[in-house]
Amino acid sequence: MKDKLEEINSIAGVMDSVLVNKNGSIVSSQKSPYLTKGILESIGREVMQLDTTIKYTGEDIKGFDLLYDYGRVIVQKGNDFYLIVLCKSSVDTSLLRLTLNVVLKDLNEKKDPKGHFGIKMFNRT
Amino acid sequence: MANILNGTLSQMNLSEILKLLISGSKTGRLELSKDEKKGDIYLKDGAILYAKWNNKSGVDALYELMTWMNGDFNFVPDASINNLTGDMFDMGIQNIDEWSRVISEEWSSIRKIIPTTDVVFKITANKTPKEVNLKAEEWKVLANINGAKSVEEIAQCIGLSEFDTSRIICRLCKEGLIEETEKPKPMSNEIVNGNFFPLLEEALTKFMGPMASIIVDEKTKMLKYERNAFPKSKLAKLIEHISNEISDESKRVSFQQSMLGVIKNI
Repeated sequence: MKDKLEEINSIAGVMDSVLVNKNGSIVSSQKSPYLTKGILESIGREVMQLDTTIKYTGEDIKGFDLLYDYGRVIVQKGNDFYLIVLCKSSVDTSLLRLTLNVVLKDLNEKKDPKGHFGIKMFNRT
Repeated sequence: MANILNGTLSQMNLSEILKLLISGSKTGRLELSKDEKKGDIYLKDGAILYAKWNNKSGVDALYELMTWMNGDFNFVPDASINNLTGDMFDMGIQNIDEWSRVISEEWSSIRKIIPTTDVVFKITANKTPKEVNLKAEEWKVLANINGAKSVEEIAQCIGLSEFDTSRIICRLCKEGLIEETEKPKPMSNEIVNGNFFPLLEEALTKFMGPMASIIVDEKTKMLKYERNAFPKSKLAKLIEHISNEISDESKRVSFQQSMLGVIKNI
């Protein structure tokens, strides 16, 4: 799993990527020179709450892209997890999206011995 | 439910599609997508009842969608209009000529200054512009003008639509703050070598058959480049545009995976 995050982090402009479960807890992350575990957990919880709020409106989206003055947070939803990528505005979004699609497919298909992750394909709506 | 109408907006623009659906008294959902952006327009018996894009609905969303010059569309007949949130068009819109006219006039005025969204602007060096007041969004655009980023890239960076970004750039240009500059030419080592396109066609043929070559040409031209001078920095974008032509999700990701491997080795 770490190698998948490493693949994402190797893209120019990506600051960090983290995998959180549907409770907002970190499942896997790279050792980031920028962000502490506490900050990543806080981002994970925010993402989970945002997704829950969106679901209340009757929408079910496959991810979101949050733009800030100093960068962006791109979130892709897996079966039982969120893949969160923190990056600079200058990131090649096409390359990032292609990589995330491939990584997400791999993660969704990955069988976790503890059964924490789903093994179904990620459904695009 | 079978899809009866789909394609790309570069082949048929949105106002033409809507006119077709309105004249045929169609009911259903017109799905529009461009990169990762998605929008929906709902019709009932040939009248537009609802439009949605991003967090906008109603007039704002329809106006925004009408400005799209490229992207994909797909009509899903008989889609339900129940459970929609946001502004509905109470009377239904059946005449979109006025909308098309206003947008087309705005676009043609923009096109005089920005012929394509691939154009690059720089801050004016020699002229001294008069005092200008800028809104927050205009300042964001101006802060991104650096003589290297194209209009499209700026729109992507700040999360505005190409139409709104173009409109702001036009104003900044008219105020004398910025001017068009030559797009930096890619160095020879930044151009993909001759092996790339045959590899791309070979990979795409597995998923799209003999149409592969035509699709590659169409998407390359859409990005305003030629095969023999295609910059490496735009490869991912090209792959993304091409892969959107593969409707099967699993096959699309397989194609993306194989091409990511190729990009990394270039």
